[in-house]
Amino acid sequence: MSLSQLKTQIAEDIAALDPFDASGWLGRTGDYPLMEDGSPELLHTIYRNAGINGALVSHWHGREYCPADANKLLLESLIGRDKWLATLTVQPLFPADPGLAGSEGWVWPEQARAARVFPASHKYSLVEWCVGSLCKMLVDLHVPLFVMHTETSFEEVYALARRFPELNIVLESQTKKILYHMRMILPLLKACPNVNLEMSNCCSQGMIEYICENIGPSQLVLGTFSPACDPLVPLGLIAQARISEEAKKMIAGDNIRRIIAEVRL
Amino acid sequence: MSALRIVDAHMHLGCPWTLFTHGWQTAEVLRLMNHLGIERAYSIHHRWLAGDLDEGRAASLEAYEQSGGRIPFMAVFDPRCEKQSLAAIDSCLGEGGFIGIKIHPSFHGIAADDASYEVIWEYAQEHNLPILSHTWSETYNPVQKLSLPRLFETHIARHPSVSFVMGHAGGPGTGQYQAAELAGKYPNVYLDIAGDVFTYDLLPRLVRNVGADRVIFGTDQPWIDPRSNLARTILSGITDEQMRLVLGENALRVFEPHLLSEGD
Repeated sequence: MSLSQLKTQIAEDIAALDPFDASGWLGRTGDYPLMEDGSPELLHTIYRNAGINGALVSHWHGREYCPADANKLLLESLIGRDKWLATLTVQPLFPADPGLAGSEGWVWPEQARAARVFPASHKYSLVEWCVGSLCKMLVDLHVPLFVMHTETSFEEVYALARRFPELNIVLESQTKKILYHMRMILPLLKACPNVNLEMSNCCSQGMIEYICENIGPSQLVLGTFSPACDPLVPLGLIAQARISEEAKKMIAGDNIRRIIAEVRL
Repeated sequence: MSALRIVDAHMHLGCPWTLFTHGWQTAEVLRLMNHLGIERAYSIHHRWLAGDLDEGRAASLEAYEQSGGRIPFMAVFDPRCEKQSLAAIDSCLGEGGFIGIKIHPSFHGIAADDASYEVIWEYAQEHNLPILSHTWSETYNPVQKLSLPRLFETHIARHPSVSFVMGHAGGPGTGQYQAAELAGKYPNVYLDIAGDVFTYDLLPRLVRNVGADRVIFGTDQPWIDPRSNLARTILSGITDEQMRLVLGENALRVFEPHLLSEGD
């Protein structure tokens, strides 16, 4: 096959996936020293070039400084971008900072379809007596909960997923290597159908086929962590996987679209 | 126009033991190479890295035979056991499939600028062998500071005839700047993009900074699935001429120059 044929084929294979990014980011973080500042314009350009048709977008400010400010900045950035939806930074409902879920008069915004916690960075853990009321609220709204594997423990995720089986949890594979932990993650996915694995850094050999064969494709979701990371990493992995076309489409977008379509505000 | 040649210039064979991966067996690796159109892959066997010199050598030769010559190998030099390492490398001289030397300062726990590496640089110079080393940035993992690109400079400068490949192009942080600086300063330095250096715009940036003739495609399988790096390379936006260099011709020039005219 010639180079131009190869380029065309891979680009067409990716476009056929109708990708939706579960983890796009505005702002910046020191975890990726070489990243450019995540402006809406840069993210838009990256998505256009990679053929990504929609996204859940977050703001690094939510971890790095003030979650309430981050959510405000994020929602302002989404104005006029109807294919982008917000992932809000949330914390335990008690004690609640002003402007966050749990504070007086706070209402879940229309543009937000997901929530993310940073337990390690914000100094708490995902034990029920701390985050139980938050999880109950998210279950009532059918809002999925995102958490990076570096912000919690697999034991906590397991316990939370079992305690709240109606809560969709998306375990994110950044910001450090997740490939060392597959002996914990695979049993976690198998035991907890409500735990989903985000793919941006889930890159050890053959894992996509192994999970599809042994657990099923419904618990894998495309995330890119653009603009820190290259969206063509997970997209290439999915497009060139030796799995069915239906499974590829599920992983690249349909799974997360199904989850956020259930949100009831 | 010559056919596209894809060479994975940095991968591993054998059980990766500390982590769970799927399909690391040589037959599976070959199947995936066929699926992706990868013509050749350069292996560093896990057993060799782990210090099992005889077993690593035997397994590398076996994989070379099993692959019909498509998976040549590098021998590992461990400065903690210099004599045994050199003896094992000596025994590879003249063997089909032996193409270079691998060093891994972080894995072996000895910083890249340590004098104990001088012997292998001398050896590589004497036998006209390229050296591939793990390189990385300062991160949360403290052993990575043993492989910072700048630590290699003395050896590079002292051995200008040794082609030196900085694996992972210095990693995902400021080590990448150090690697690019050294490639700019020394014509015998190359950067490979193997591994999980998933930085956005990585390949175009490296090509801009050091030139397409100094960047080499690699995967680091089975730690990293080869598909993680292949599509992003092919769709990176660099020119077709640059792509041919990066995807295969540079690796052939460094490790197997006798094959360079094949397919042209």
